[in-house]
Amino acid sequence: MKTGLRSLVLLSLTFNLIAGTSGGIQPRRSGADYPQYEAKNGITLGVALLTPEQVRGNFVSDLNRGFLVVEVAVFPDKGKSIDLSHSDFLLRSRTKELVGRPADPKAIAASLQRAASSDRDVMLYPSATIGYESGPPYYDPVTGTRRGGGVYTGVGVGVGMGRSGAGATDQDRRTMELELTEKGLPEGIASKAVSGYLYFSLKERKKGETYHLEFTAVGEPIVLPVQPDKTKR
Amino acid sequence: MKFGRNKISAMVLWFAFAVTSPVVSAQDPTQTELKSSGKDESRVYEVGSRTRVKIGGVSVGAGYARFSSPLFYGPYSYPNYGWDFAGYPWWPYSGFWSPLYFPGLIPGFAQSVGKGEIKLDSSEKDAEVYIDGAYAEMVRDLKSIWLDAGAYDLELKGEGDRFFQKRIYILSGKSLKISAMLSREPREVTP
Repeated sequence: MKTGLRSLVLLSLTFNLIAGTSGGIQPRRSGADYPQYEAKNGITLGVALLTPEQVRGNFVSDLNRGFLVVEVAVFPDKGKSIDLSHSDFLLRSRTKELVGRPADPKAIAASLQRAASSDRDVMLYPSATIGYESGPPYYDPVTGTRRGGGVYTGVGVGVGMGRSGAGATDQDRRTMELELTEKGLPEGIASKAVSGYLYFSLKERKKGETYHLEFTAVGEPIVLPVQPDKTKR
Repeated sequence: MKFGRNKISAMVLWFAFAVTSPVVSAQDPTQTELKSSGKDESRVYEVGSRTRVKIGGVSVGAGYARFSSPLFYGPYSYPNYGWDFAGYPWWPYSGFWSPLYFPGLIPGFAQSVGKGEIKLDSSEKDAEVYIDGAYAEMVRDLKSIWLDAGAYDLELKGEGDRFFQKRIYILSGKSLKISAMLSREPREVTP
């Protein structure tokens, strides 16, 4: 009896934690607000692909370097709940070839940090000078000619090269990991709408390539084409 | 004698174990994380490095030189130093700030190595800025904020219960532009 009560308390705590989860992002009003959605097996799944510009505007982490970001929302039907896990999602290419499962924020942050630490910056410092000199003519030992003053000009450029260092510290890695985790799709039992991002690592980004997201958690898989949200909300 | 033989056997065994067991060393944690990132399907491909070309700044100068004797003393001689000396009446040798003073020199939210920048823009210049619940300054005085890398809760409070809230993430050496529009209700997160 005591164990049963304890389990009930734990279960309700888990429900409360996930249902009112602090992770993820705010879901849109309904699945229909997403470019692609489908209602099946007691849930409505909505997906939207983030364009590189949207990724740049929404993330400090430079996910445009080899990652595809998909906004996913799950709307359980009234009175139903679903156990969400990132491993239930699969990304496939147009030819149904498996691209991969969502990447772990920890691994993404580590990869981005290493890339940032090898980045180089080339800084250019152009300069221009204009002046006027006056006085009696004199012999200029630099040019070997006689100068009599007048307007003089000069231009130059300084070049500096070195490691960028931006976003390359361990603290940066932890920050990126935190950002990706906090904005990621929450995992666990959800009894109301949840939304967040899933990150997929791409070997190479092909122009014009289309992808399909497959959700396999409940019954028959839900397969949705992943398309960017072109409508401005 | 028998004890000694056992000891040698134990040492041989220990040596064999030490050689064949996996080497555990203080290696780069990021390497470990990459290798143990779960199933093969959720692997993370290596991200290549890149080179960026930036303009560090453009300097334009103007000068005037006059010499009254035929003696040549070149462009680096005394008359050109006069301009530099002209800066000394200003800070830190007097009580006045130099007109060339750079706001980032002020301690607090100042620029320094390992920090990232927030470029804050809001139409309400009198709104109060709070970072992690602590009052920082008014918008008009905080156009540029330099913070250590990390996650912060940024909040702007304007007149009439209008506010703006955003969770921000700062990376060292990077800048984040925020255009804050204050409203009475929290704004929906839009991609």
